[in-house]
Amino acid sequence: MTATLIVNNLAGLLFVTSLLVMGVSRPTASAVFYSLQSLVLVLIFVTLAATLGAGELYLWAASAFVTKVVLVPVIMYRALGKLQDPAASRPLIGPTGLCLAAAVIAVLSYLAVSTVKLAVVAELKPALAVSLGHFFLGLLCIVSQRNILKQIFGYCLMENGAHLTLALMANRAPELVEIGIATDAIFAVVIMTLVARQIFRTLQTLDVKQLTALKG
Amino acid sequence: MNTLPLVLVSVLLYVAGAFASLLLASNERLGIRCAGLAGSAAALAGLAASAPALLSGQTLDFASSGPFPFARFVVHFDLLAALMVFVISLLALAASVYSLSYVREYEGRGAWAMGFFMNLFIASMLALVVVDNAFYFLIFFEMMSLASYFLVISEQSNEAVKAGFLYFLIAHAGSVLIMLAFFLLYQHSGSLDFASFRHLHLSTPLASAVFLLAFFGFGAKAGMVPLHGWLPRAHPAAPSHASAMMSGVMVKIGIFGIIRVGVDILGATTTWWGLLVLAIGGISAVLGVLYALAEHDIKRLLAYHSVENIGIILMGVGAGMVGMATHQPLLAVLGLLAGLYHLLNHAVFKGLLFLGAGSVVFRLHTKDMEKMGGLGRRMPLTALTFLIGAMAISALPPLNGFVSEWFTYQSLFTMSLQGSFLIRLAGPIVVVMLAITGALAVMCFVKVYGVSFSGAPRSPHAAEAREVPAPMIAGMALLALACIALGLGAALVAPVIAHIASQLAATGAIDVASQTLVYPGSATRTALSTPLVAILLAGGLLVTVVLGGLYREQRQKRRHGGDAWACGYAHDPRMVVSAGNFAKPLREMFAPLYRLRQQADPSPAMRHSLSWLTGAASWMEPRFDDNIVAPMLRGIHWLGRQVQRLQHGDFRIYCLYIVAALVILIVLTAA
Repeated sequence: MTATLIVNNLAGLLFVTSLLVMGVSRPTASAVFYSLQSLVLVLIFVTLAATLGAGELYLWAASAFVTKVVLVPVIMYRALGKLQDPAASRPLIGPTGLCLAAAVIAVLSYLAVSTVKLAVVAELKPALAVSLGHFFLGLLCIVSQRNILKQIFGYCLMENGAHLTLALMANRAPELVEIGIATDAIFAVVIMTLVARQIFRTLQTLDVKQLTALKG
Repeated sequence: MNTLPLVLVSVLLYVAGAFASLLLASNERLGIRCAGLAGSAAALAGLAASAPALLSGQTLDFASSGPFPFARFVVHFDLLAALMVFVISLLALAASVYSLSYVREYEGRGAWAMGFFMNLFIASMLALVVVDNAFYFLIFFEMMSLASYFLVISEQSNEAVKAGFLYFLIAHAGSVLIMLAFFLLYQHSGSLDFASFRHLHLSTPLASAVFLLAFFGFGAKAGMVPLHGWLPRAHPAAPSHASAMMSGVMVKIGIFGIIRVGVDILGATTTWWGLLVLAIGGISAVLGVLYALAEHDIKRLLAYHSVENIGIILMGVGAGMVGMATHQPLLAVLGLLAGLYHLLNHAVFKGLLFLGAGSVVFRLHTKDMEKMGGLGRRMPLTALTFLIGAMAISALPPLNGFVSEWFTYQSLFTMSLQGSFLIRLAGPIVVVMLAITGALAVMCFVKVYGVSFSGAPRSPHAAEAREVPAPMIAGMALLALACIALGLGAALVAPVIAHIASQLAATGAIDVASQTLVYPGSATRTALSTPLVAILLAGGLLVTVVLGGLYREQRQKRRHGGDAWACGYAHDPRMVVSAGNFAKPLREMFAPLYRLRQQADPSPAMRHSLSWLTGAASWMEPRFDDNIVAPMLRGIHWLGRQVQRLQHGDFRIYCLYIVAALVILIVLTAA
């Protein structure tokens, strides 16, 4: 099994974990699965670092482990445990629909990536397709979930997709970029969590359908 | 000596006084003092600027490109402008000193605004007479009209607001005509400078059109018949020191404009222009004094006298224009001399009379002469100055009104001697009109002085009246002295004004005075010596006193003491001659002419056309709404409802929109 094969398969695993994040009903469970997904991402980084000989990626992997595998899930778990709104837990699209949509996204992403002609990613096209598709999966999560907490995870998924794209295509970027991404993830999540708690305290709901006060 | 900076100083001082008054709205007493003192200082600067120019006969010019590319800022300080600056400054000095006490009456009723508009009004007149560019001329003309409009409505009463509206309407109708006249000139010269207008050679019909537009445009401001309707309403409505400025000076701006355009710019080349001016002058004089006689309201009466005196001034100007058109230098100079001299004199005595009327109103709080009477004892100084003004306006020798009317007569006599049949016929007719005017004016002021200041008081206010404060007396005394000086000093004043007239008519110097004599061209024809007249009159008075002293012994023997009685009844205040019954015979005699006042007054017609216009506008106004605005509104509503569907309210949909837009953009860029 060559290194590129490992990367591509791990990327596929990324897809599966995303579906799990979306599919489970309790936000705390989503946090756990998100942690798992981030671990997969860290593994991809490590593999890529070994394969491509990009020393920076070890650093990326380390910081991603600290922020995404540990910090973000812990923050989410602690913060969201107190927020319960059963009415909002029921998703708009069921597991089957979710899987179908994910399949469509995967196919479309693959088609989109197949036209890319770059020497760096010639071997890693499936991984690149996953990174693009992951972005859309995040979007799918935002659109399909009624619970605003799940939507925060949608954002995190999009962020992971972008992170992977960056690792594949610009892995020799200086550490500064990586620091930016890591802090970005943490601060965005912290802020969104605070907003979500504020919403819940004010309106006693997490259902996005109720949040239409600004509609004209 | 270049005195132009002094004119600038004067204008700036007025403006400073105006804004000081505006800023001191919360402390009106100080504001009144600032406005009055700044106005007085500015007036002194104006006198210092104009007097040397008048005496030396020097013309001063200044030009700069100014802020606007289409109009140069040109100042042309010729003798006519200098005379106007002198008149404005003299009156402004009296009015500003007078205002120091008079405006106190208006404390808490917008005295600060009065100071602001008054000073601005004077400043704009001053700037108006010296600029030599049509654009700036019109700007200052409008400023003058607007500032005086606010002075007219300062009482805020229903009557004042109506009068102000009429004034506004006629003043602007006039300025539209003036604008048209300047536009016609501009079309042919390609420049807005008056200097370029002067060098034009227009065809006679075009020049006539320009003249007629300017004549009626400025005539509306001057208040000549038939455009006088606003004057007897607007002038009384304003506070008295403003009335003095309006009646004394502002109407002269109209005359100034007529001379500037008709004589200075167009050169008075056509005979009938002069005859038209003469005819309108004659009619204005006779009708003005007749209507004045019928008035009870002292300020309205004075306002009608302005119409009369504008007529007399126009007679002189008309005669001068005829002289210019028929190439008679003597007539040209005499006519313009008479007109300009009367312009100066009328400003002085009409200012004085309005200030006097203001003093009476200040104490009695009424303008109705029927409620006055006996004020001569209660307010002796006011009565004395008013009497001097009344004698001057009635053209009694040796005061100034007599001298200028004498010159008017001389110019008309000169006109009757030469020229075509029409001109020789017009001369005597106008002489007769002037004679009637003079007689009626005397009658009118006998009535005014007699009813207001003599006899017994006819109201409690009149019985308790006190003399007015010193600044008001000072303002009136200044003008009263000017009346005497301009009369007795005729031999000194006439050559100066004759110089202005000969500069305007572009003729050689005409001899009009030597030592104490004034005469029309040569002393062999006729001559007048006002100091001699004064000495003779004083002598006559002395003879009476001496005779009275001599026969004192015999008179006392025949005399019985006791109350006055009338036809067997004891004297009753109701028996005192009143303003109404004094003029009653005249009203009966000239009944058709009084009816003419209603018929010839353009204000009902203007009011009617205005109401038609507002009717048409109110018919038209919803058309725009119904046909343009409402359909557009409905369309926008419909569009809004369509857009509302996009606006779902669920932010997830908005996220989709963003991504969709992103994808579309990427596809577009890729393609």
